[in-house]
Amino acid sequence: MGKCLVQNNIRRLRFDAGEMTQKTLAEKAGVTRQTIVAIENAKYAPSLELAFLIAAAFEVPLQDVFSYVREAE
Amino acid sequence: MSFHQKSIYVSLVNTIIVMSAYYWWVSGRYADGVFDGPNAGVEVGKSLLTLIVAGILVQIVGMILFSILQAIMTNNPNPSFLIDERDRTIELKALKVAYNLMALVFFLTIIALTMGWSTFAVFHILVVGGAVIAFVEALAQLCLYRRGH
Repeated sequence: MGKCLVQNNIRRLRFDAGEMTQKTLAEKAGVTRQTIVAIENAKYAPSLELAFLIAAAFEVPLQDVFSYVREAE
Repeated sequence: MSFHQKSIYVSLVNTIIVMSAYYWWVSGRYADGVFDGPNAGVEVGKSLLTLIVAGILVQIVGMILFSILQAIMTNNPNPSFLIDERDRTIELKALKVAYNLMALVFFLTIIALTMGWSTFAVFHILVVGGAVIAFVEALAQLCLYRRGH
């Protein structure tokens, strides 16, 4: 399995949202806390739908949460 | 660890229990010569049917006991049974491994048939193969969970 190229700012956004817990974010996005942990640690690239749901939970645009990093970078 | 991940461990333990009990029971019947003679096919069929029914019952009872134990230990009477897209992706990847193994087991069965092995031996290649496939599928899921995806 290659390195996950989808990076995210979930940790910072959770902090900015008053230290929102992973459990709260998971409930808002409709996934398990383990999936949020995997996404936050860049071990799992979410589907487009889940990415939008996570962005909606923070009330920010998608590009503020996720970014694509080229392998050479 | 999610409920789904824990249930995979329970499923693994159940598979080991069922297969151990089945082979303990079948080895006794084999020693008694039940699988020799003209009724060998019928006896093999009966024992496989017993295995399937016992396997389903053990899985159901095991999962009920696990759910009760989980609720008591976590002090949460309503645990989340949520299965999300990552769980489904992991399941599909593990299923792909299982299908490849199934093809191998099927091939081994054909070889056993062409070599003139008994009905008992041929069916038990399938049974052992099925157990190994279930085991590997569960292990693959647990490995994928550890890696994240």
